[in-house]
Amino acid sequence: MACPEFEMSVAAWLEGQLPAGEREAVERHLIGCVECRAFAEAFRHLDAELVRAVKAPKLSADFAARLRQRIDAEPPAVVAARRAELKRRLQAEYEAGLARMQRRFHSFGAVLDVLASGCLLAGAATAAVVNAPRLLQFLPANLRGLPDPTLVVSAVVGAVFLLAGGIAAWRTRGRVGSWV
Amino acid sequence: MEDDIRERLAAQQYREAFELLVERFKDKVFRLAFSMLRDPAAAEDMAQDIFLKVWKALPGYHGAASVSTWLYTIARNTCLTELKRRAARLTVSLQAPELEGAVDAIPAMQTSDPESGAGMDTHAMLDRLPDKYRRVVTLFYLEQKSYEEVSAMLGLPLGTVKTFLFRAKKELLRIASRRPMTAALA
Ligand SMILES: [Zn+2]
Repeated sequence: MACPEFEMSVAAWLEGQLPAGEREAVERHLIGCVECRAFAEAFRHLDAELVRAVKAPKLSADFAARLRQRIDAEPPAVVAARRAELKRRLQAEYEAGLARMQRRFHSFGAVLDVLASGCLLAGAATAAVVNAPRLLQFLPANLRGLPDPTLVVSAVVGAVFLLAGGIAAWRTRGRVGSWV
Repeated sequence: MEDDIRERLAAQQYREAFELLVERFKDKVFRLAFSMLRDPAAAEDMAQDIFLKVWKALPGYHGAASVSTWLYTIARNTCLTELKRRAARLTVSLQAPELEGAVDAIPAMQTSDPESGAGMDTHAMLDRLPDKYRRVVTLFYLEQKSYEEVSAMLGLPLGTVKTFLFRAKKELLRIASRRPMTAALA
């Protein structure tokens, strides 16, 4: 076993990969350390053995010719290039269309906002006008029982419109923001 | 070394670019495939498939990576897909008890003369290394001991190549020290 702090340097030293200063340090250590000398010797042996044993096999002489034959049977790269270009253009058009649609959604949400606010205001006004006298007159009684149906309906319809408009506007705005 | 290929690609002269690519890289791609598949015939078939893929993909190359980096990535991925396919097939066949010999069907290193005992032993030792170490060692010696080439071909940082190589050699020495036949290595 080599000294753990030296074994990697010894391997690098064998490959001639050490800068001058480190090289001298390793060589000084090797003079005094039998273990590291044995390790270096084993490493050098292994290297020589691997050089001898690991040989690249040869590619067949007709490799390129065979490849050419297969290429000729394939649709030429140029056709593929045109197809890729067409695909890119279609993708771009699709994305532009999608962005347009998102913008339209956005305006639709704004319309809904206005509509909902209007409905709520109108509902509230109607309810106020219709119920004001009775409300003022029977306020304590109404607090114990159910409120007037007209008031409930107009408030609910107004709230639903406001909510729907708000959600639509919020969602499209978020998406348009990420697209633009 | 890649400028002429890049120029032809930019001019959409795919056929000319491809011819240059094959001429310059066919041996490298073959050796890379061999280091991964460990069988010359399979590596040559694989190299054909790799270049066919490259041919189809050429118009999509837009010069983000260097040509060789791009080519080696396609080569490695094609080999890895083949290895996964083989592993899946092996798993299936091992489930049938009468096919227990299927393990022997995995091609081993066939690089040197089978008559030479010492060579056989080195290959047997290489077979016992983890894949990632064996690939680095094999390619390192196939590529005239160039750390840079191994790094480019396997897509590993230079430091990783050096570390793997060192660990692989230590492991080989450990394996050798347990084998009386290879006492010369220990
Ligand atoms: Zn030492």
